[in-house]
Amino acid sequence: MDYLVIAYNLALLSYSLGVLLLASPIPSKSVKSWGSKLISDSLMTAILISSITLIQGIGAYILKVLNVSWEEFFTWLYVRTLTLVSFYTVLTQVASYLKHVELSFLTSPIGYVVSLISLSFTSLRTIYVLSNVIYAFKDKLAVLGVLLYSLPFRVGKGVGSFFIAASIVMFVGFPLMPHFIQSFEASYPSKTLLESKTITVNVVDVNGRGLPYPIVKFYLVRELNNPIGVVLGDVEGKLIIGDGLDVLPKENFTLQVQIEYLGMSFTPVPDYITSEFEINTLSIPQLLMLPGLALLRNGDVEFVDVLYDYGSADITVKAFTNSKVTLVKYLKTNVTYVEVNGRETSCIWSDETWYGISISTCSIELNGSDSYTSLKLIYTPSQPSAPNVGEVRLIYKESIIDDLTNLINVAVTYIYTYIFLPGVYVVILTSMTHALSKVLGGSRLRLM
Amino acid sequence: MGVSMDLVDFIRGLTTQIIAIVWVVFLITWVVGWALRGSPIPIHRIKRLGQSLIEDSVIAAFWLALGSTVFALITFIASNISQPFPPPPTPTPQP
Repeated sequence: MDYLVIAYNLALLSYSLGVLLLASPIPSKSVKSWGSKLISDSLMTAILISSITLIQGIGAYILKVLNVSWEEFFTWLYVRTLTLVSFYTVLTQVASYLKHVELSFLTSPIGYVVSLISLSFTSLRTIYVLSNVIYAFKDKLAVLGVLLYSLPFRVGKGVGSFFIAASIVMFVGFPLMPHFIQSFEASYPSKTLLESKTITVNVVDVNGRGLPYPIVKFYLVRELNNPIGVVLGDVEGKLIIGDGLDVLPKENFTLQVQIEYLGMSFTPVPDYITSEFEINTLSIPQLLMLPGLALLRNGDVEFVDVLYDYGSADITVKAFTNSKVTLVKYLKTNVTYVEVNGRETSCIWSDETWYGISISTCSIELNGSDSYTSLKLIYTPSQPSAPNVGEVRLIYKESIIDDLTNLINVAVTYIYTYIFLPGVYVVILTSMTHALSKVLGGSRLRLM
Repeated sequence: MGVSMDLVDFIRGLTTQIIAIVWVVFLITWVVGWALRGSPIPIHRIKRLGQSLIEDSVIAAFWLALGSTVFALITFIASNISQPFPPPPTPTPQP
């Protein structure tokens, strides 16, 4: 209120100066008109000083009538900042993921979006600073405006009236910004870009035991010529697709699979994976896994029962005359004894190489005269080793185009809602403030 | 506080001095106006200048004499207008 006393006295001073100019014996039109200008300004200042409580209170009154508050505005601003921060974090993560997948061409649009987001941060920070200044110094701004307004000879009339107008217009305008922007916002950026699907695939044998290091080839349905992905499983037959390593289709999809294992190619049951399930189990009914070796049956043989003790396996199969099983082992696995229906059988091993792994195979005649045949193996198992195969991760081209489109959409949306709309709003507020300041300072009383 | 009070006193002093000067200037202008108007110079422009000087000085004297009254009136009216606001109407739910 101290400033108001100064302003009141300044108004009296400019009034007396005005009268002095008016009374002066200088026969000049401009001197006389300055006199009347000074008088009218001082009267206007007196009005403003007297109605300072009105100026300070009118903003709060309008806000109450419109039922908006500064708290809501600050909450809105905070939520927006959080959204932006989380999107920024996710994008940075996506960019770092993409480096693994050799999709460096996607990192450049992402970098563009990231730069736009930092631009949006700047715009948000400007709004923060402006709104905080208005909120904290609204009353002081009005008083300062009146003081500047009261300076004689119109020294601070324009600035002063702008300050007074800003203390009203900005104080009402900023809490209305969420409503303005929400009415123009078409949609929030789609989150599909950020979701990465993960599918776990388990490759198992007839008994549900995991195949160590299977090679799984993925094909688009009905295009069984060239695989779109080749992925190696782990020691328990498990592999994970998606999870940032692969670019998978956005919507539900089905991919056909083929499995290669120890030099053989299988069509598993089921012969596809689907994104409807998070875990897809592919079983190979032709194959029976034992530690360090595998048994492959022919079409008419059926595995009935397996008893395994370390280095010794008793297998019961259902077989017919001339039925065969093929024994496949790692070279280091040493089979010492093979017995069919209680009789020792010789096994002729032939060596092969499969993706850098040495394996041996041998065919065993079952001579199944009766339906159940027992097969006994005694051997020294060895640790399985991984084939030296070049993995081809799944990259779904349509998905990449979708991602690019999404990125562009997101970029445009962010430019629009975080930079363009608030900028337009602040410009509108400024022009309204200017208009009100013209009303306060532009009109003058005609005294002569 | 002290500085601003000094400032206020300074401005008040300045205003008082200017008002004293204004009365003197008014008298001078009035006298000069009448002198020009009543002078035996047969030039119409000079007579008219004297006339306008008299008018201006009288109007200035009028505003000067009325100054404190005008300010008091403005303060009174504006203070009465800027009474505390009534509470805003709250929308009542329609049945």
